[in-house]
Amino acid sequence: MSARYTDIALACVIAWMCWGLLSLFMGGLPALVAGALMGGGAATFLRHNMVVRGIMALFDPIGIVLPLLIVGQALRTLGLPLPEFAALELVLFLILYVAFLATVFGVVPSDPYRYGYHPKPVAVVVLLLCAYGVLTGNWMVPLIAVAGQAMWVFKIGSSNYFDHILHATLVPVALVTLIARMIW
Amino acid sequence: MTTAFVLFLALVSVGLSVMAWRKREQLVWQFTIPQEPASHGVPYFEQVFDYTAPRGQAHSPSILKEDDGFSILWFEGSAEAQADVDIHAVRCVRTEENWQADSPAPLVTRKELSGAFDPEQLVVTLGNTVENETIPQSIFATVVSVGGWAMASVADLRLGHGAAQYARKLNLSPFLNRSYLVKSPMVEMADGSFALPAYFEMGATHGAFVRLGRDGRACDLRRMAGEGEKPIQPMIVALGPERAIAYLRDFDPSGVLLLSRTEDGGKSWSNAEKTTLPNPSAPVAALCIGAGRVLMAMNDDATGAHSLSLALSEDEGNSWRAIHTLEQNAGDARYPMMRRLPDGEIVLTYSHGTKGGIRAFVFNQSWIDTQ
Repeated sequence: MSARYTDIALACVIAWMCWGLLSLFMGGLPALVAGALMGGGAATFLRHNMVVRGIMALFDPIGIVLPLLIVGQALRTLGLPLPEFAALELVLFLILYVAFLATVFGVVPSDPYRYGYHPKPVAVVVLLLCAYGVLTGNWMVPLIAVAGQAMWVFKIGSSNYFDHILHATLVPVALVTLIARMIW
Repeated sequence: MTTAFVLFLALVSVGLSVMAWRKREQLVWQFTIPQEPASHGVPYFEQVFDYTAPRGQAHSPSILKEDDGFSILWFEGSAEAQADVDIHAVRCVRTEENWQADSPAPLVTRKELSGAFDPEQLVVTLGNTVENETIPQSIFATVVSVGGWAMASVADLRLGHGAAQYARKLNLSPFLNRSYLVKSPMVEMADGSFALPAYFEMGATHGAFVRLGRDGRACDLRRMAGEGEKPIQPMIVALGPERAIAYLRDFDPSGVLLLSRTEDGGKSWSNAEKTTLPNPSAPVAALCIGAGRVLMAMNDDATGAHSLSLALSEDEGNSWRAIHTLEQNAGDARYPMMRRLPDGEIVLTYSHGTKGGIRAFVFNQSWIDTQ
């Protein structure tokens, strides 16, 4: 179950990378379709390929956040009115997440990551994110939070909840999104 | 509409939280204290394995206990951290007269380990290993897929029929699950589970006390941090049900060994502090041999790892006396590991000749008592 989910998550990540590259040369929708085909194909037929194994090793644990954000972005490209993150939300996320990552390097003398192993702190975090969704009207955040909690409870993927709802690649992704919004 | 959907999600979350609470691991924060084996029989200290790598390096041996003896595992290749390093092993079995070692052979290659992950993961090089005592024929291996040791992860690797059958990574770090490594044996807890000493090697560095659930997944992690020091490679010695000391290598060459203590079964660890024990930034192996006595294999010269000795403390590590010199001025002798076998004998192994090969010895309690 966990391995098959990871196959799907890996396919999403590769599809997203291919989609991003192809969109430099072709329209949004054709790039999306080609990217999805390449992602699915690579995760299915190129499992032994060094590049695919390298991507898997680099991104593991992929969690739920990347696949959900990638699917959300794809659905928006297809014209569905999904909520987007405001620039202020992205800035706040970057500040908080970079601070969270800094704790692992000992820059901040705290270890919030370890609370991701325990049901009580996880329950509090999920409900706080749900409250955030109610206040802002952005249901994407609670969806990621609860889907991540379900994955964590059913032991699909990481044994730490934070690995399901966060991923280090979100830092460059959020930065690039912010810069792109400033340019355009 | 949005509010209703989010409230529905919150309700689902409450249900999931109840489920998680019911399924949670009830961890016991108490150590198992090993019984002092009776000191009987003829004292002996026997070399059971002396190996020099035909080419390149062989380093960081670990001990895997087996029904009829033990195996020594180490990594070997052209040089440490290179893309041709695999895990090698030798089996040592007791015959009626003495211990006998088989021929050393590769146990797990990078390619085999890569294929044991599902989906497959690239493995560029391999490092320190430790027996996973929760599951028979399992080890924790330090695995690098990108970068150097600071980008390593800990893989839970199941062996079967002499090959890698299944692998997954322990989830220990929010930074791409990177920079955790293992070096020292697991610690038995009072509930029959085992905790894994690990360490984080990036930035400020810290030691870690990792609790594992019944399913072998990480379910808690407590740090052994330093203030100014850079503690890594914790060697944990339980002294009482809730008391233990962890000897740590200072990644910065301060010239002494570091020490962290717990008084609550590993829930919290004191900041690593400097001891007076000289150490050339090298890991140690230690074993509680009962009644407050601790046996340690250590590099006891702050200027280099050319000297490796056995030292004994009879007061829980407050004072030490050297009881035996293992290596002196024949290249670096490093990365000792020491474990007690079920019948009370002690296995000691380390790399010698500046990562040129592996040596292993077996000795008994009587030998220690005569030193």
